[in-house]
Amino acid sequence: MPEVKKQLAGLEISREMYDEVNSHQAKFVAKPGINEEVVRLISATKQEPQWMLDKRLKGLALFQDTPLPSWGPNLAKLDLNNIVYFVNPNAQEATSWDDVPEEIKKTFDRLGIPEAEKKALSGVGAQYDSSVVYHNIDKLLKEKGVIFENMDTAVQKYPELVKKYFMTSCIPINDHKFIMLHAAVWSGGTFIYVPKGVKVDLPLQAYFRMNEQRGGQFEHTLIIVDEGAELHYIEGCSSPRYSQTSLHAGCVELHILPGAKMTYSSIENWSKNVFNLNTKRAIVHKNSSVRWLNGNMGSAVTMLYPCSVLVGEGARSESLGIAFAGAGQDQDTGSKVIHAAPNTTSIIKAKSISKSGGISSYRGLVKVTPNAMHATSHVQCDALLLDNLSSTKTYPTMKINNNTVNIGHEASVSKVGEEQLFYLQSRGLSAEQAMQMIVSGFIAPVIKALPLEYAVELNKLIELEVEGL
Amino acid sequence: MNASAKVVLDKEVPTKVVLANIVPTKVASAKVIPVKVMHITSGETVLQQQPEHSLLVRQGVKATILSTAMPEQKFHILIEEGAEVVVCTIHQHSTCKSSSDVHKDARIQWIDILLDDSNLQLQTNLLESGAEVSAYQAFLGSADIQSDVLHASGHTKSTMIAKGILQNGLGTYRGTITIPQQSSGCIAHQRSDMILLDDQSRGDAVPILDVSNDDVQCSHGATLGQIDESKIFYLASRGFTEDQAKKMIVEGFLASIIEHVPNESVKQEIQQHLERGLTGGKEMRIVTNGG
Repeated sequence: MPEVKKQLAGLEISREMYDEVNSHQAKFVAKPGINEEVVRLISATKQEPQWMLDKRLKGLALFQDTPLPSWGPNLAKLDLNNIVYFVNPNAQEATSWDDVPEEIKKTFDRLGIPEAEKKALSGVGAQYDSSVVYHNIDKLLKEKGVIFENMDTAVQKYPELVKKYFMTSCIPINDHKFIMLHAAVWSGGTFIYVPKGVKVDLPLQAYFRMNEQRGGQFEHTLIIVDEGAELHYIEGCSSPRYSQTSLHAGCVELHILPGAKMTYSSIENWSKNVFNLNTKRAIVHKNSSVRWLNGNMGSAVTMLYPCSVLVGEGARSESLGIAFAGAGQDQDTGSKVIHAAPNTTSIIKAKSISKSGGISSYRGLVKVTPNAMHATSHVQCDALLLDNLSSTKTYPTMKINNNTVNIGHEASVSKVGEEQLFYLQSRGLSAEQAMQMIVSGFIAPVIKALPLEYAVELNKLIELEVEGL
Repeated sequence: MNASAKVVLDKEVPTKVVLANIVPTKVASAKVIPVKVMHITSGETVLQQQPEHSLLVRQGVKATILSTAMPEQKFHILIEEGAEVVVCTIHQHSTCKSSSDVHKDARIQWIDILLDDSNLQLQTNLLESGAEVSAYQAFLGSADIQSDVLHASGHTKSTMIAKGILQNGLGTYRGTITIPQQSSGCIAHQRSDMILLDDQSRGDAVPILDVSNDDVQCSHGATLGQIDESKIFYLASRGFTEDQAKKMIVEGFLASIIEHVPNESVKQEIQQHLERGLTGGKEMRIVTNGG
């Protein structure tokens, strides 16, 4: 069916909106490369306490001693000495969009952030390169004691909470090479604390925009949902397209205390010159639950495996992911769950689409420790290949050290069936409509799980993708 | 049977011999040539034996190979066009590397029964269209299995099924299906199931798919768990003791693999071994004596 092949060639996510470089002049751009001087400079600029500087320097020392990972996608194109580790935009953090400098405001306008805030969110943070430029939260939530701050401010304002939870029990600074780097140069990000029993009805959102050429963004997100509280947090990411590579090495730590519930949604739509080497982990306590929704559309190379550590009895984790790999993209994603307590449950559903030579991989882990009696886990990953140039890999790992468990894994690889297309066409649909219908059907189980409000971004992307057919 | 199957016994260490060179004879094509591999050793030398066998199966021949693995052995099989081979190996405390190159329209069926802490590496290369592999493994106690299939040509087919009962041990199953870009129209399915009988057992499963062609039917599945208590309860309500019930369930679980064993007396011996293993009896070495 050559006609269909031709149609497929047009299937590409439109990135125009994101790829355009914004004209904003940064206030300060550090020299490329990383050394103690840069790290001290970042810390001094932020007037950080000594313990944070110590942490950064320790991270730097570890980073310099650790080799690149020997597994996974090829990172040879990533020149760590050519990355700018700190870019301070020429703006103060504002709580009203009117106070945000015009060029930056325009960027976020184009991305639809202020619009979404009015309609469907209870708070928004926006980060531009290394600093947060806008932050606002619903007054009612503030009165209930919900803290929604940029991470730098939180270090100053809530030192005890930050010191207790920042890169300690969840993701220690020696976790892996890019976490060591993150610990050394982190800047910006989100800090959220939801007090006991408070339910946040509308989602809180943060948006990360990387604008500087050869830039690196290392935002740190730390969220503590206290006992019995509920939260939905959304993260969106984008960057303009340059010919030189950029690096995003963020870190997300979620502490979900007993009986709490949290949904973490993120759409990462970096441009195709970005290495997205991100680390996300949740510590899930007794009877609490976490839900990860992940969309990975952009970037040259993504290595991202959100992890849930179920440490309390009855803890629950659900992970839903979509990855789209186009020409030149390597989406190495997956989910990890560590069942470390009795009666814990996990579900992982991953869908990937590859086209025009893109590579999408599922790399996952389900681990059950000897004390995790009656753990249940189900993993399902499906891959759709849209042409013969693309490839898909599945590397699920199951390490089970307990015999009272119920563990299942399923994976499949398929293409858009010619019979399916033929059938739909015989019902009067055009080849284009038929293809569109099949692709949306494939990802529907994950899309359906997204809350309507959040569809703002992902649905827009998927529409663009399917429209191009 | 006048098939010119030649069996050479190996004495030197390590040895590299053509175990059998099976050529087409006037035997009707439906006739299966049985080959039995026996390692005859005396006394102390047994652990030093590291035989390397190779077997060439000529066009159109059908053969069944029955053997007991040596503590360390290598086995390579080349299967020419249209030939069909069944290789059934019993492993006990052995480390075994087997590989096979399968040519046009040829088929190989691996049946590996791993008892008592064995290690198996299986590599099958499907080189030409129509080539087909089925790899079946059953394991008891502790085992480490790696089974890889390379679909080097389009229109080839693979089925991999592994079932394990883990008792006081670690079971590791790694299976890889590789379909390169040029191989269209492949069918590849893989499945591994493990039952963990006691709290001293561990199970690891790493089923990998590496697919670069869109015209494929490819899937894998893996499960790990314990014996369903409601099944034991049901059987107990029918008058069976808990041990009997467990035994029946385990036998049923492994039956789909063991039924492929091409020899009745070997099948029975495996059953007996399973029973002993499950009731904690002393292990005995299985000697294949069917023919």
